[in-house]
Parts: sequence; structure tokens; C-alpha cells
Amino acid sequence: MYKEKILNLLRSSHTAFLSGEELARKTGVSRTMVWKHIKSLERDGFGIEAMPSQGYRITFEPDVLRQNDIKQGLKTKVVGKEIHLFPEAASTNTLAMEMATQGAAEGTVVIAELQTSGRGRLGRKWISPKGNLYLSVILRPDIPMHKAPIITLMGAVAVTSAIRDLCNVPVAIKWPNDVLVASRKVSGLLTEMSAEQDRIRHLVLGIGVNVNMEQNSLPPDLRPLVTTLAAEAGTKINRTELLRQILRQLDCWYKTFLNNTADVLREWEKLNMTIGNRITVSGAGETLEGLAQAIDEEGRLVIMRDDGATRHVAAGDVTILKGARVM
Amino acid sequence: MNLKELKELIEMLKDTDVSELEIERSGVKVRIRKGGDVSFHTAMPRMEYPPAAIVAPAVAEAPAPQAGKPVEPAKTNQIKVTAPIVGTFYRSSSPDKPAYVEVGDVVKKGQVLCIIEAMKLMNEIESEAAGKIVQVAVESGSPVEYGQPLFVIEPMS
Repeated sequence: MYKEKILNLLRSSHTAFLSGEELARKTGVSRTMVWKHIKSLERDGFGIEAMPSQGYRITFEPDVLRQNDIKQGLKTKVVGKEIHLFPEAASTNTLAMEMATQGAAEGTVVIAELQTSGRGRLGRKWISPKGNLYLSVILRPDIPMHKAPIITLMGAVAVTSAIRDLCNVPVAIKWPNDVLVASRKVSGLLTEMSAEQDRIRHLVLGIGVNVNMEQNSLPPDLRPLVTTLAAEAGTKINRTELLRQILRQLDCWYKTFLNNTADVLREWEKLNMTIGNRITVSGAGETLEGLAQAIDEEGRLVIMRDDGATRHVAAGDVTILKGARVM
Repeated sequence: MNLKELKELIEMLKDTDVSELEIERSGVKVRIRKGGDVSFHTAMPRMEYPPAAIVAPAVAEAPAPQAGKPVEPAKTNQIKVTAPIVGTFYRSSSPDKPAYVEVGDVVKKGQVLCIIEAMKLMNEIESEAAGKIVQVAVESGSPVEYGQPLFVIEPMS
């Protein structure tokens, strides 16, 4: 608490020094305690210059997520009401699913600085070094089961909107919910749901965003397929700001989703890069090729094959075929 | 076709010599046969279940898994677990992991039986009751329709 107060004071004085005495007076702790908190901030990675007779000032802000920074001006109604932040987790989705089973409130967010067993669909790995965002949101929507998959499109709409709000990077959605720059992935979502036959108990929306990680922390075979926001924008991204914006957009779009799923689908259409392209979809034991024509009212991809027959696809990997855009 | 129309049809047939009648309207097919046998099924394209697994060679120690067989009529106390959403059916959390359940396994209420994926939403389907898995009706990786039977469970208390 006092540590955060001291940090806020130092931040607001920018490059000017603040004396230990002043810090002590403004926070109401002893000068010895001020010194202890300063040391603790240094252990957190902050660069703090101490000048005899002048005091302290921050010289370096580490790229670290802090609970208080995230909550600063967040102003969400549901998403992020409760935030659990970990320096490391096996998988934020696994943790969030466990918390949800034990009754965690709707909107609870689990965040980790790195994941040791980050997951994609079907047991695929999500490479999760430091410098990115890994978060999972617990939701308990009271909706008919067949509408649940649309929530994954909602997640992609929120993440894409947040990135567009803050980074000057041309992101778009590949069906169902990959967020790409050109043909390289910057964000992926994995949603896991626990349900009875006809009732959703809870679901966890897992989001990974490649923000500031070094490209060389990826295995070489993935490098052509994956990019980071920092690489695309040509500058480091403030992860705290981006995280906050993602939470805000999720809060807003979740409300829309509960009121009218069609609004989510319309926004998805605006932000997507799949419809209108020749694609292949593989999954469910077959590969289909054709024109990605639309998404249906349940968010499934409608693909028109060359014989004119259309198919509604609920799951699969989409590849957009290059140089075949149909106007 | 509603219940009232169906009743009227049956009434109408009573006083005729027609012994069997089949009509199809707006995707619903009705066949009425005199003698109390009424069958009713939709004419929607039905899922073709893959044929039963080929019998394992004699050297195999364990019998081939019973995935992919059409669902046999359940005994009265057996429970059919059906697909709550349209999607792709998976018997394990990843291709290199063992199946959640096999035929003959005894499961607890709330135990995960399989996953159905729709648009990267992985839906864990849990058992509604404690019991023994009598049948696995769908091959892993196959598409499933809403309401399609996935497992047959013999309840145990």
C-alpha cells in the first residue's frame, strides 16, 4: 500500500527529485520505511536514483504488470472486478477453470507474466515467454447453449478493437478468432467451457497476445507465422495500457453479446480478413476448399465450394489462399 | 405439421381402405400404418455413422474400441449422452493423450467424458450420472450434430 503510494509520488514528480523527508510526510511512514520501500521497488526492477541531500527519482520503469497500475482508471462493470496476477503460471486457463469450479465470481481475471505450459486447442502449445500478455477471464453467461461459441468471436472483436485503439498496427481477425497482422498471428484465444446438458456452468476465455517478446524466444519454424505488436509497430508497447484496454473492450462487448449476439457478429464482420477469400478449412477428418462466403447467425463459417454447394463449418483450421481474393 | 393435423389424418384414414400413408411436408416425413404403428422422423440429411471398427486380429490382446457403431436401442435404464452443441467431437484433450473414457470404464457423476469443439470453444461434456460406459457412439475427430448420441451409460448407484 505505502509502496504503491511512494511509487505514485515518484512517478508524478517525473525527473525531479523527491526527498525522503517529503515522501515520509506525504505517505505518513517513517524515513526508514520509505528507504525500505525504495529498496523493494528496486527489487521489482525499477531504476531509482538516490542523491544525497536531494532525494529519489525514477530513472527506469520495468516492463512489469502491477495490480494497482492495471486497476488505475479501469472502470469496468464485470470484467476485471477481481484480478489475480501471477509472476508465473502453468496455464492461466487451467488456473481460471479451477477457480471457476470453486465458485470464483463472473469477471474474475487471471493474469500471468509467463506460462510454463501455455495451451492452444487440442493440446497444442502456446509459447509463453515474458514480455507478452496471458490472461483468462471467467464468465457465467445465462444464455442458450448454442449461442456459447459466439463468445469466442466476441473475444476476438474485443482484442482486435483494443489493439486498434492503442497500436498503429493493421490487425484483423481470421475465423474464428485468431488476430493477425498480414498473415502472422499476434493473438490467439482458447475458450473452455464447463456445462451440463443444457446449462452453462462457467466458461473461461483465454487470451494470449504477442506484445514485446523477442522474436528469438520462438522456435525457428514458428517465426514466419508469428509476430509481435512491438515488431509491427516498430516500438515497445505499454503492456499495462494494452491489458487495461482489452479488459475494457471485453467488458463492453460482453454486455453487447448478452443483449444481442447479432451486434457481435456484425462487428466481427467489420474486423475480419477471412470473408471474401479463397480458403481451406481442415478439421473433423477432412479438408474443404472454397470461398469463405459469410458467417451464419451462430458464427459458423459458410464456405462455398466450386460446385456451388455451401457448408457451415463449426470447427477447423483456416488457411487463406494467397492471391485469390474475390472482389 | 402439428399434432392436430396428425390427429385429423389418423381420423381420416380410419374410415378408408388405405392401410399405410406417407407424406412429407416442410422437412418432416410422417408415415401412418394401420394397426397402431406410427413412425415419425425428420427428412433432414442424417449423419452417416462410420461403419463399426474392423474386428481386431487374433494377436491383439484387447478388443477394438467400440467407437463409431450406430447407437443400439438403449435398455430402459440406460442413459444416452447427447451432443449439446454442433461441433467436432474429441475423446481426449489432445491427440497424444489417452481417451477420457473407454467402454467398460466406470465413471462418476460430473466426470469429463469428451470434448466438443465449436469455434475454438472447447466444451467439456460431463457425465450426468455415475455408471458404466456401455458404448462410445462417435469416432474421435468426427463432426457431431445437435442431439446426436455420443455415449451410452449404464447407471450404477
